[in-house]
Amino acid sequence: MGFAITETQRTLIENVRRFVRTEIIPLEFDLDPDESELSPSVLAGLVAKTKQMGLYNLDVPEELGGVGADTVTRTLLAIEMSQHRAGLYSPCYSAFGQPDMAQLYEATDEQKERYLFPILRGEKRSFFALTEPSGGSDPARAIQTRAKRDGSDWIINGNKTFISGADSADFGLVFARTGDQESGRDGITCFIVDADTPGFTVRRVIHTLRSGHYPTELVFEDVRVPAGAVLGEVGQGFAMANERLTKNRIPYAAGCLGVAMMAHRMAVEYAGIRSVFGSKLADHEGIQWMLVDNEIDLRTAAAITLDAAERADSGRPFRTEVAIAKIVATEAAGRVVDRAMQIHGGYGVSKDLPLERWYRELRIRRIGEGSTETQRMIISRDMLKGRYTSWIDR
Amino acid sequence: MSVSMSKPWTPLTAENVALVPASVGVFEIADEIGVIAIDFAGGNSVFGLRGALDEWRGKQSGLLFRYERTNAYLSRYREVVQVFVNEFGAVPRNLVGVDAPAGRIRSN
Repeated sequence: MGFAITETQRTLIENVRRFVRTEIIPLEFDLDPDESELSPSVLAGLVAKTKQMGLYNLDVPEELGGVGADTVTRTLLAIEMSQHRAGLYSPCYSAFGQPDMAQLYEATDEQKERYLFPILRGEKRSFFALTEPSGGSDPARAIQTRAKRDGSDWIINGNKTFISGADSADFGLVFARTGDQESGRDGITCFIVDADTPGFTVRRVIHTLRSGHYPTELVFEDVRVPAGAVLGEVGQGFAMANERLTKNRIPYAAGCLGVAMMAHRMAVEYAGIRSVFGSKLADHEGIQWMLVDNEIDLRTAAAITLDAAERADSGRPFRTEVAIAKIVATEAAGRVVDRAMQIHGGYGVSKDLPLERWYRELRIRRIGEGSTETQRMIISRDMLKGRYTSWIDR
Repeated sequence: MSVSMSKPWTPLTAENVALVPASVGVFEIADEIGVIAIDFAGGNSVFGLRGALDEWRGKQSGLLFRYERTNAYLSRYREVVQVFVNEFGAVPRNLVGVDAPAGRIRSN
């Protein structure tokens, strides 16, 4: 560890912060408190601005026309981009680009033309279908959706669940078993499936604590796709998914920190103006300690998350560090928002303020992208496999 | 669980609307031909479902309504609209000319 924000990063942070405060937050005054989407025309106006700022498609490599931000910079900007009401699951309503589909960088030229470039231009939408009713924490074993060869085609049958965006997407990355059930992770293949392919159905919305940005349940009944729909190598789909899942946990953790920082800032300001029993809330030790605990939680989680990001950029192993960051940031953010609500009293639980939305949505973060328990398994596996190396020597 | 709303229709009268909770949720309005509106009472609504239905009461006589009280009002609203559009090929009257939810969810 030894982290310092560069001048360039500081400038980027200030630009994104200004964008959030002048372009995003004012828009939210007129939206439903649970809203996660903007009308296409409003979003187009915001995208024009982020393009002008040179910050559209932050995650996309420069050779593909994106910004190619390193992980540390991306993490710092993810913290800023989430600091508004919808920010946890719809940071800036995707004005900085659609969610990353990095798997498509490995696509064939034909697949890139048909799927990747339209995504990068904001013309197509996609979904990522890994989790199944049989489980999401251990996909290598849980995946029961099967793809069987039929001549040069593949026929896909099975179910997926908790898949975001599938009802309005143009295509999806679908992970299916092409080996036998015992083949584990080596028997999983990734297919690109057009959403209008016969046999593909979005069966229902799964209604959760998160109302604006919802998951869906998918059915694949004899869905026929050509050989050209295989993304990467047959049997190598899990490795592709796993790499994405690991690295994505860093901005995922950062987004939690962003809303928690905003909640904490609100609590500090409110404690300074709200009077009770003849003095400001901030004068009461009980409130001061809550604010101090928030500060400790935030600084600890930020340091750990940025350390994971720095490791990812440096090429050193970072799986354990990402798992720790995911646990610490999601759990710390939950505590911070909880304390901020307590300090705000009745207003804290009302839809007049964003705190109640963040409270609900942060609960999901301890389950999504690999639950806290799964992260602990990852850490223990790394720690107990072979010769133990302490963090100072890693 | 059906993805369409399935509760029985109730006449849109002052007495019946007064019995509706002032909570967030989703509702449908119908005339003698069929559904003419799908909407929700969200976090910004005044008196929730009751207030939203009361507004409809003054617009046209002889209407019917049904509602679902749910905190997941946005996701439920988008699901119900998608099912309607995929069944009837068009949005209900209240959503003509606005950015209505579009998608692939159909009635089971």
